[in-house]
Amino acid sequence: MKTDYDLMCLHDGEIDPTESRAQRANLSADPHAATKLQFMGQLGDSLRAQAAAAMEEAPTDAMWQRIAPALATPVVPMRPPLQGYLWSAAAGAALAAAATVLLMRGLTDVARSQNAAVVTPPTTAPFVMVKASPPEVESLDVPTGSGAVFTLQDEDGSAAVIWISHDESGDPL
Amino acid sequence: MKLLFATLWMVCGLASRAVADTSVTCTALEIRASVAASPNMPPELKALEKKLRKPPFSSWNAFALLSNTSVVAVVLKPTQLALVMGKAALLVREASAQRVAVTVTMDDESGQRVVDTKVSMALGDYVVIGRPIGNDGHLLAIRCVK
Repeated sequence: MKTDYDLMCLHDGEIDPTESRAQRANLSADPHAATKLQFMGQLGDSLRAQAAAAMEEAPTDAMWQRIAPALATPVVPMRPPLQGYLWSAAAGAALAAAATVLLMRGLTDVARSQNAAVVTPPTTAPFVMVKASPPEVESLDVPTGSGAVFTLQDEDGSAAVIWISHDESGDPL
Repeated sequence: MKLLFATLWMVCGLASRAVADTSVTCTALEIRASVAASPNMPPELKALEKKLRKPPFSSWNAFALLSNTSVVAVVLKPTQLALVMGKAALLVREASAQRVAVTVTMDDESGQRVVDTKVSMALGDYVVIGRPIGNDGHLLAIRCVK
């Protein structure tokens, strides 16, 4: 039993001619492989026919000679490739330098905080002022009506209020 | 044998600490709001009183506590809340030292879904879901603390 790869090599003529003749002679004993090889031939013919038809539809030099004078915008030559490489390299180097500086700064802060914790432990817990952020309604699905969202805040804290209004009912809002 | 007990003690201690770190205690207050000749504010609603005096809740002056449920909610494990008027489910999606993210669903008495919402709030804050029932109001206030 030949693999598909072997059959493709045989079909494309990529094996030794002597071996190719021997394999083709053995195909009579393997009708499945023979059918596959025949299908590969038909597929190749079809693809070549499609490519030839596409080439016939492509613009020819004569067509371009008629189109070019009608173009209002002059053709601008492409930028030399090296110039693009230089900009990319400069941007990459700048980003790498910035990342290195940030990384080193972060490591220094970590080391400094660890040293500080070891050398001078705080005697009292530091007072941290945390700014309270109000509740956030991330998603709301009200299948039978509509919902209004608002926040009530006072000295007791915040509350996210979700008020459901049914379509057919009275509503204090 | 001592080694076995020590290992069990450590495992149990670590497990209980893990549960404590991934759980919050949530309280669900189910409230019926109405207009009455004599205003009413149950003592259990003291923490919510100032908010209930503001619009739109100020349309009512009598608040009755229908149910008061307190649950230890483990992160990513849904908890059912039995309500007098319908039912609700609470899922704590995230819990940090300061904030909690919850998903709340509420169904009415007929089993119809009223709301499905995701809220992120500071520990100790409330999410209040309200809906009109005739001239009255049905409120569900949920608050989570560590």
